[in-house]
Amino acid sequence: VNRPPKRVEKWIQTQLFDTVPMAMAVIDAHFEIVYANQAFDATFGQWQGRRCHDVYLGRKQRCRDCVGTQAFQTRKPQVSKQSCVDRDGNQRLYIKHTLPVIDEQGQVPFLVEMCTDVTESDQIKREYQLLFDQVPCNILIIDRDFRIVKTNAQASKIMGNLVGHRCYKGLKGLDEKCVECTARQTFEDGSLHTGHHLWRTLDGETRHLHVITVPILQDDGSFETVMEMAVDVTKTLRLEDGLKFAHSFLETLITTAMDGIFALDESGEVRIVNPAARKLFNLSKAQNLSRDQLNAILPAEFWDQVRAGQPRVYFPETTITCKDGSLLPVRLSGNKLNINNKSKGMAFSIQDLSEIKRLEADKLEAERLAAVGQTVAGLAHGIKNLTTALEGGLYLLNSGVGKGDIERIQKGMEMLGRNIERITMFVKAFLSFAKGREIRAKCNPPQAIAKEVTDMYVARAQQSGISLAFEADQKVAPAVIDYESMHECLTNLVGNAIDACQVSENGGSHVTVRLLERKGAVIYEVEDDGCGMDYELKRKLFTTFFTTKGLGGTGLGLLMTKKIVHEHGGTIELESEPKKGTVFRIVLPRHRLPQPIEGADCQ
Amino acid sequence: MAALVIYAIPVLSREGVSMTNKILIVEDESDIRTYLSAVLMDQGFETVAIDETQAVVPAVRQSAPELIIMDIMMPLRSGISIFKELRQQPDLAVIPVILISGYSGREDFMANEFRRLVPEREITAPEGFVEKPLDLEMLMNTIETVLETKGVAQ
Repeated sequence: VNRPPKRVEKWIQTQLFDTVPMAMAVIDAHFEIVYANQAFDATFGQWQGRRCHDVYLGRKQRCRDCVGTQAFQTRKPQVSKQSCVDRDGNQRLYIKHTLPVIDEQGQVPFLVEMCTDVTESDQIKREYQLLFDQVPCNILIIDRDFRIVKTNAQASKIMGNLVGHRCYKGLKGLDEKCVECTARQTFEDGSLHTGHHLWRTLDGETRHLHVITVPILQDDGSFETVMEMAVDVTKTLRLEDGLKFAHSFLETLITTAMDGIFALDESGEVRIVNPAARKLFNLSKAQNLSRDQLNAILPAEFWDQVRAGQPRVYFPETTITCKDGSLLPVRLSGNKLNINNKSKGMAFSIQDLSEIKRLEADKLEAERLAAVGQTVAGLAHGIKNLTTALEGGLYLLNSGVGKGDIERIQKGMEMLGRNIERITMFVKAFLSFAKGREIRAKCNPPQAIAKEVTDMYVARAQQSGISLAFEADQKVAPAVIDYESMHECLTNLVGNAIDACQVSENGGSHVTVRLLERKGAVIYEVEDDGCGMDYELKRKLFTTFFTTKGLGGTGLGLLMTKKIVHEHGGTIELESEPKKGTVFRIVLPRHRLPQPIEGADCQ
Repeated sequence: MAALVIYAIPVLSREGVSMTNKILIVEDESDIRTYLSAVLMDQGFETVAIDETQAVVPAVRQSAPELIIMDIMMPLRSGISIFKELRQQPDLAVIPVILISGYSGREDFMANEFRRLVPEREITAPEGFVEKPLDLEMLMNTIETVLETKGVAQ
């Protein structure tokens, strides 16, 4: 038998027991600890006169799965893993070797038990396994035959059990190694390799994976297996695709938009200027637009609001200053860009209004010409009627003379006089209409005009038993209006309203003049509860030289009113119902009001 | 002088025409109603003159005229609208109508304007049209022709 040298043998016999780092104890058939080494002392504390189950676990009874009993009975060494409580009361994990001591008679009087503390290494092992299985990444271990040796739980969840399969077959359903195989590259040069793989999963989907392979090196630097770590990037790719689409969609939209689009970042620097905006700002394709340049182009009122941190700015009609100093009418609007409540700057759209302005001017001109056309037709009709009436007067006069009928002569004379007077009135009104003196708009308080007209009519209305009232919205700001012309319009409308009450059979007796401001428009309303108008009458109202007042009217008042309202860029509407009354409404959108005459700015 | 010419129109011979001898005038201008009434009375007709605000159908039924002379451009109801209403009454549709207006010339009215205003084919054209200002000779000739035609038809 192999024996150590003498001196060592002695050391083994006398000192080894106390020197080994694991706790060792000698246990008798009653499971009482009869002897133990220093390490045992240090681990479990006082043991003299105590039984093993008491020392290890503080139990009064023998353990159910008592390893010692087995060792006594089988006379073979036992290895077990057991959780025990150490002298400080901590539960720790031990590997126990329980060795039967067999005497010369073949009996087992004692057991020697050695405890090795494996708490930490066990913990590490568990942590490693957890990490291996639960890391959000598929892990495979592949050998040099490209067989999968092991996979983590994540991988088997989506791929099923692949152990023993060739990787190319199991992962991709291929019969041959992939050209881009990263494992092969790692096997060849021992270094880390990355790649993009497509896997076919259990549920038949194709997944995109970003793959890293590394060698699992042994102590001597050799390796027989590689670890393949594969991150599923399918969702990321899909998101990236979506993002790419959204980006290119927006980019196309911005580039091809007819309106100018530009954006400032949170520090106020210009980030985006689309081609339409470049055209408006007179910039070449490559030219940068600095903050200062943009400052000079856009109007001060715009910057005031932007700097004040308004979430939204809107100027339906303002002007920008071109390079050559000329002004260009534009519409400007902008919105703050907020991402997760954090300001990321502002985006703006800018629309060139010069074409629209020109079209509007053309339309105004066309409307004016149409009005003149209708006027001429109406005028011809009026003159023909007047001529007929004059001829009638002459006929009565002449035939009266012939018959010596004084009454007839008298009637003829009256008819002539009346119609000559009517011609005079007609021609005067027509001349003033046709000349249509140039609008001279200035900044005027809209209230003052309505008030003056109302005051002018109060006496006449009272005489006829009609109440005339003026109501105005609290704050209607001054507007660019030709005072005289608008005065004439309201005079016409209020005069008509009083007439409508006077001829009404339903006893209309109220005329109300109102001034309102709605949606950026100054609105005058003249309402009466007089005779009202039917459809036929309403239809004709503005279209011919039309009067219901016989000799008392020229049929020009409303035409004139319409013309003036159009010259102010406004519209005139009416609501009327027979025997109920009528509302005339002049709507003057502020952004369409005429330019004030020189030196009469409206602020 | 035009006035003398107007005065000098001859009194028409009225053979073969007659019965009620009555003409209904529908015209908004009172001076023109007076004028037409005087002229027609001088020619031996009986006249009834109303404006467009009156209910014309009952007035026609009541007066049973031989002929209706009606203005077109009247502010509260157009002569065309009244004309259509009359032509839609079977008993009144046979009464000849002469429309008068400064609106357009005779040729133009009969050739184009009337069908533009009255697209309904079942409504027949008026029997006559005289432009304002009135040429009295033309008016009287038209009245004569219309009444003669009516006489033959009956």
